Formats: sequence, C-alpha cells, structure tokens
Amino acid sequence: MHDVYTIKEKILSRNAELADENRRILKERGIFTVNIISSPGAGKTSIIEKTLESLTDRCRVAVIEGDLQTEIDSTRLKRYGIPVRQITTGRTCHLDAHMVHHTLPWLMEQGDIELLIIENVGNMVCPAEYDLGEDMKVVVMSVPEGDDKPLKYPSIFHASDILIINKIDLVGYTNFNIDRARENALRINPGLEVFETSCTQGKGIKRWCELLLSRIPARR
Amino acid sequence: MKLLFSGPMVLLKGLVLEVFSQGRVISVAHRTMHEMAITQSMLSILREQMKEKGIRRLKKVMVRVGELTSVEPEVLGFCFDVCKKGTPFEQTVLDIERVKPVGRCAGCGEEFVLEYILDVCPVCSGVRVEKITGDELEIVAMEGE
Ligand SMILES: Nc1nc2c(ncn2[C@@H]2O[C@H](COP(=O)(O)OP(=O)(O)OP(=O)(O)O)[C@@H](O)[C@H]2O)c(=O)[nH]1
Ligand SMILES: [Mg+2]
Ligand SMILES: [Zn+2]
Repeated sequence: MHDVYTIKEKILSRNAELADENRRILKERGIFTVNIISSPGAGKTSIIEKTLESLTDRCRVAVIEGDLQTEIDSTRLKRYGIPVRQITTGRTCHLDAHMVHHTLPWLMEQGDIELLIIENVGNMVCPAEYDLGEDMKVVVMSVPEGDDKPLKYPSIFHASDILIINKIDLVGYTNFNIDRARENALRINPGLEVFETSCTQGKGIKRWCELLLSRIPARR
Repeated sequence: MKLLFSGPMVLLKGLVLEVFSQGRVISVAHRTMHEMAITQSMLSILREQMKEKGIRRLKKVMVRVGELTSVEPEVLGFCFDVCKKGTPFEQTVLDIERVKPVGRCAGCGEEFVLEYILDVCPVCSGVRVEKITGDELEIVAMEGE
C-alpha cells in the first residue's frame, strides 16, 4: 500500500527562510544591505571601488565579494581599508542565503557597519532566484552588452529595485541607445530606478552614493 | 557522430560536462551546477518530510517547474538521478510537471499563455497583464510507504 501525501513546499523555501533571518539580523544592527548582480565584467567591482572612494569617510561600509574562483576582486577592494570578506563558490553560479549567513559572525566583529555591499557571482540568470536577505537588489548592465539586455534576461530586471547602466563613456563606440535601454528595462519593471554611470570618468557615481546614504536607517 | 537521443545524454568526467538533448547542447557545466544546487535543496526537504510523515520508502515525488524559472527540467531530472545513487532515494522516481506561464489581462480578465513576458492581451490588446503562473519551483506530492 502506498500513501500519497499532498504537500506544497517551495524548493527554495529554506533559502527564503534563511534570507529572512539574515534580513532580520542585519536590520537589528542598523545595516543597509545591497545585492549587486550583473553578467561577468559589467563593472560591479569597479562601481564598488568608486562607491568606496566616495563613501569611506562618510559612512562605515563592508563588502562581501562572491566569485567562482580567486580573491582578485576582494584584493582590489581591500586597498580601501574597509572590511572585505571573500566567498569563493567553486562551481556554484550564485550566492545563496546560507553562504551569506556564515559571514554574519565575521561581519558583527567589524564594528558598527552601516552599509553592506554584496557583489554576487557574475551571472545574470541564477542569482535572480536567490534572496540573500538584502534590502535592495541592484542589476548592472553595461553598454557593450547591448540595449536589448532587459528583454533577453527579463527575470533579473523584474526582480531588481535599481538598474545601473554602466560604461556610458563607451556609448559613442557602439549602437547602444541609452533611452532605448531605459525604456526596455521599464517595460519589464516600471518600478526600476535607473542610474547611468561611467567608472572611468566617475560620472553618475555621486547620485548613486547619495541614494545609498539616504537609505541607511540611522541617517534617515 | 550520433547525438540524436530522446533523453539527456551526459558526458561524465569527475563533473558533469554537457547535457545533450535531441542533438542540441542545452547546458554546460555551470548551468548544470544550478540544477545541482536545486536538487540538494529538494533532497533536504524530502528527508525532513519523510521523517515528519513517517515514510520509510519514497516511491515517487512530484514537482512543478515553471517555465519562467531558470531550471531546465531535463537537467533537474538528470541531477536527481546522479544525486540519489547510494541514498535512500535510489528507487525514487522524480515526476516533473512543467508549468506554462499564464497571464491575466487587467482590462478584460482574459487568461492566456505568455509566449513572452511582454505579450499583450489577445482579446483587447491590453498591456497590463498580471503573471499568474510560471514561477513555480515546488514539491507538490510524495508517494511512499
Ligand atoms: N570603459 C569603461 N570600462 C569599465 C567601466 N566600468 C568597468 N570597466 C572595465 O570593465 C572591466 C570589468 O570590470 P569589473 O569591475 O571587474 O567587472 P565585474 O562586473 O566586477 O566583473 P566580474 O566580477 O568578473 O563579474 C574592467 O576592465 C573595468 O576596468 C566603465 O564605466 N567604462
Ligand atoms: Mg567583480
Ligand atoms: Zn484583455
């Protein structure tokens, strides 16, 4: 005799629960958390570098750096004299709430952090499905990738709160149209707040940093 | 070279390299790793559920996978078969139901299959379409004794 049990459990329910737990712990400490997602090379680390240049003497920032291999990116960021924790995922294509959960004891030893920036593994597909416990999901697309990117990878644009269009200094060398990119992204998600940046020219970074500062609980 | 298999064909060399389906490469190692992670989550839920419900042998598990998720059902099935070797799930059959994305028009209430996320209503051409299915990634039933 076989019994059939009807259940309804999301396969990622454990991740969701742990993400909520992370969010609760981070909130309790007054930490605002950002999860930055893009395809490889769109400029996540460069944007974080520019952000640190502008913010390190204005608020206390820590970074969690996710990569498949190597500590290259975290080494780049440690030069700014802030706490950086590397997570190398091996072959896993995304960070998950569990990996972030394990870094929390370390984070709590870093003094009064106000802003936690998490750089996800370079990948536009899988990280969209894993909540880490962040307050804000940021998707970065860069000019060389084409202005139709939101139409081709709608899930991550749908899931994000902020879109950064990076490498706008390269617009003149491509057929990339910023208005069209913006329009495509807003068709997928009308609630997106859009920023345009160039890390080589430092454009747009100020407005982005002001947004981050304005979201830190103690400063609101 | 004969690559026209009806199911997934897999080259194993320490790790999964590529999965072929009907002669078409549908996934490379990194994509397969995604389904591997999903499989691990699934197995840990199954273990807990079995304990809770006092199931000793799990015959079958039924899952629903929405077409808007990044999970490829064939790859998930393959990962499950790899992971279950030498576990209490060795005899368990994984039954995957694919769920089509369906949208509902905010204007006229029409429900229709979304071939693309930005499809407009086929009846009134309304653009305000609420997605009602397609994001599923869930276990819906277990059969065992
Ligand atoms: N021209 C131009 N190049 C940029 C800009 N931002 C980043 N780059 C370059 O793009 C390359 C990749 O930048 P990263 O910041 O390493 O990109 P990433 O998204 O962190 O890459 P992964 O961590 O490997 O996914 C580097 O060579 C950067 O110098 C920009 O605004 N303009
Ligand atoms: Mg990087
Ligand atoms: Zn309609």
